[in-house]
Amino acid sequence: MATNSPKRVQRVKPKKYTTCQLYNTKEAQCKLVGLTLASCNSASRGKSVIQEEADVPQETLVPDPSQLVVSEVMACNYCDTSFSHRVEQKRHYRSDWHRYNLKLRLKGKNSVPEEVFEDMCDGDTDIDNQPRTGPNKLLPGTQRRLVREGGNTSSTDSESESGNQEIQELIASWRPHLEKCDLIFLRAPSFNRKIFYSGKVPAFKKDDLRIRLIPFQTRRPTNNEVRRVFNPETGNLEPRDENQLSPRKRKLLNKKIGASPLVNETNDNKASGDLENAEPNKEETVSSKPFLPDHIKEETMSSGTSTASDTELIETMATIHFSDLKDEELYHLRNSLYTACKTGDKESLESLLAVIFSPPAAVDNNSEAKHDNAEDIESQKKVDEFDKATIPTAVDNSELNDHIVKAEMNSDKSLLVDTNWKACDTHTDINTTDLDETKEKVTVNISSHQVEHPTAIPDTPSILKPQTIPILSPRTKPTVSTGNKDPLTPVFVSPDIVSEPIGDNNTTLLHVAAKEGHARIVALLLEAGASPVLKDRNGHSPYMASKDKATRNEFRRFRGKWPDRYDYKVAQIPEPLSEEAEAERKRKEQERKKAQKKAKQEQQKAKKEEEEKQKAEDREKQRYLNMSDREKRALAAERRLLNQCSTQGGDKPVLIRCFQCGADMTGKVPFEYCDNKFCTSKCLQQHRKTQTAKK
Amino acid sequence: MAVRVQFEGNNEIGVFAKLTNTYCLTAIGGSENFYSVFEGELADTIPVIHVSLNGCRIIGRMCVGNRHGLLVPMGTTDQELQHIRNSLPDSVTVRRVEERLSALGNVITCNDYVALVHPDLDKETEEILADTLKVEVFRQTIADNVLVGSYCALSNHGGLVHPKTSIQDQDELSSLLQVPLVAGTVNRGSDVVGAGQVVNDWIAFCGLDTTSTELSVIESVFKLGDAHPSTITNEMRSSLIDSMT
Repeated sequence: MATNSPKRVQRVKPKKYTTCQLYNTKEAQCKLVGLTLASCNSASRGKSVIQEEADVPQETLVPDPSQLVVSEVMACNYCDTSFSHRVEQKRHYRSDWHRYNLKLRLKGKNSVPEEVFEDMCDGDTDIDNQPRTGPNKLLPGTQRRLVREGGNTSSTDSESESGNQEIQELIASWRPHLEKCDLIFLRAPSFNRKIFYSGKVPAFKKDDLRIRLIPFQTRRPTNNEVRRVFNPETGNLEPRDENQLSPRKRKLLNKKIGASPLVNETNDNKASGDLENAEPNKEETVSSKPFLPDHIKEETMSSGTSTASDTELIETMATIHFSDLKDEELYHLRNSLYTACKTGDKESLESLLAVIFSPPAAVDNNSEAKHDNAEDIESQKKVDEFDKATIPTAVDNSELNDHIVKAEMNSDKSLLVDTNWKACDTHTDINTTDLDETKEKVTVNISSHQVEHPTAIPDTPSILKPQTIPILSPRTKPTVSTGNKDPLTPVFVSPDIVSEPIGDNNTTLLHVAAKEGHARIVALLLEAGASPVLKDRNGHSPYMASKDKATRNEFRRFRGKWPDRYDYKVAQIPEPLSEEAEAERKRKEQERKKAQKKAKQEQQKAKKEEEEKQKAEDREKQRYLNMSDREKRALAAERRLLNQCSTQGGDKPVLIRCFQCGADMTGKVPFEYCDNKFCTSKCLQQHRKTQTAKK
Repeated sequence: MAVRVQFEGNNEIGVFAKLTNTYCLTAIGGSENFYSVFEGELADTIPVIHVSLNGCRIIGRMCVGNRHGLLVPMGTTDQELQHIRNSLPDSVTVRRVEERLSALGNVITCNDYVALVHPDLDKETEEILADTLKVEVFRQTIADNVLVGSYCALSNHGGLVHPKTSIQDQDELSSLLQVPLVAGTVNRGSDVVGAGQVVNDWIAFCGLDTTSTELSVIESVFKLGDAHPSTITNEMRSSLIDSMT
């Protein structure tokens, strides 16, 4: 077997070997002539082992300094051109022609002259976008318009204006093929897409149903989504679904996608939610009764940031029944609320609260709402009458509830909940001591109604839950009414949405607003029924989380306004801040400031005086120093003499008098001028003036 | 002045160091021998700093720079970049470049005015290069090698190119770069002249194997004979003071 191998055969063949000494250069050279080194390195390719002419390599010579000059030959060896000017030379090296030739050269091909290159380019000079491929693909202008005919796929894009027409012509030439196609897949960036639909003879019609844009948008990869994408009829390959949106909507859509992945899957959730529901309402299929039109969802998402859409938001949201709000809508609502609180966007918060608390009855069945209100007032009156009596109130209320529920049951299920809310409200307004008992009764009422009318079940639980939970905890009194101000339009409050904890840290909207220091937002939230009692995970109440005093004061003011609503000890809110107290404090503050100002003024005055004194002293000193030594001595002598005289009890001798007024100025430092001495600078000036006048 | 130095037994100095007129970067070696040679020669004039790029020691081949700036590959970590920024003078702009040919030192060679680049370099990189390093950029090869950074060492006074560069190419490049060029070798006949040495306007460092002939070629082409950062001021001072008095 081994002998069959060709290598083996070669080796076995006898070969004649000769040896020679390497130092015997002559012999060694003649042996090595013709051999080359293996071309592992491009630089050493074809290098002969022995250079026949024994030339000294050029590079080892130290170059003569005179040789070291900047060459003035301005030429490109690759492109075989020369230039007359440096600017021209630079331009050439930036040109595509040079780069093209460079690439050709590296491929081992000959360079092309400029004219040939221009022809090849045919006006399309941008070769940079081409992939780094061989020169066979380098023909600019054609490669980019890669077309796969036979199938129904055309892949095109274009950049230049001149290219647009070309593309249109190209597609026009495919028209017969295109007309046979069932589907046309179009890949073009949105800004280039107009090429296909515009022009004198548009390549495609805008409403061509066969056109599918690729890549297309998909939502979260759920089973439904996959089915939807693959279904050719309802499939996701809807013709130009992006184009159908207005630019603004598209923007919103983008924002939506960026903002939350949850939003995208609303359809899926809806579908799955229906499946999960034990008793699916056949009338409320997804298609027949869409929950929220797409654009409304977008609006809810953007409401936190754009105030322009707020009005629309209110309009659209007002038509939605509160009870219809399922998880997604609540999610949007919560998101919007959160953003409003975070950014301190008072207007949007107001509008959102308006949406939350607007009674559905007010929109749908006004008459009923009025009837309802009338009863409400009536009940309130009754309750006022039996202020302390617990049982009658409870009975009264249960009766009322029964009545209302029966009246409303046929029309709107949501109203049931709302009336119950109202009932609770009246109780809270009346008497807090009886609250727990009456409330429990109310809850019982609600549940009994549920049993009686099973049709109400699918919608109500989500709403009822938050209502019943707070009632179980005696400390938190969740039902809040701002209805006192205007009893004819009672406000329906859902404390669960404004005071329910967000995220892992259990922070509430109040926490968020307080932390950001939006005092107005805090006030609004408190008015809307956000509970300041709820603490976050760290055990901080919203009051503790407040950023500044203004925010904290807002809490205290609220306490002043509603002294009994919450357990303010738990909320850690100190003594209430009433108007009087505030005014008093303001006055005190002002007084204090006034006193401070006064003290400061006095201090300054004293300081000024001191400075004045200091200055006078300085002047005196300067004057003294300006005197000659002889004069200083004379002055000292004078003073001594004066002292002596005074100690001896004799009359003060007058040693020196003012030149002008003749006053005695013994012992004082005189003002001097022309060797004349004066008592004051005033005298000096007078004298001087008279002197000049004389002259 | 040309100095011979070795990085842990390796003569390819240009791989482990980057030298410009305003700063010098050296790789983090096992010992401080390499660094201290640079520090001894340069510490009075320019900052010499230890640098790694993307955790690699082959910093000379990864980055490119001149006195105006420094370009580092995208893989450079934030920490490394921050260290470089902190150590370099404020006048030097440091920038990361997203380039397919990430060994910027191999594909770009430059002095303070011009740069030669690999023919396939991105247009964006070319623009960044022109902006950051304030150079004119030319796409060219050296002796049919695209790795212009490896086969060419360039300073403001001259350049050493691949030994196989033809006279015509030398002329062309010389007129393009506006500096005199010489074809030569370093490290006892190595043709990767860019990777075998680092050079600025007054000093060159080459491998320990570099022969004295090669050294004298380098000194003459880069005009390192009496060049020193203080030479100009010293010379000028005498004439200035003469004229002032």
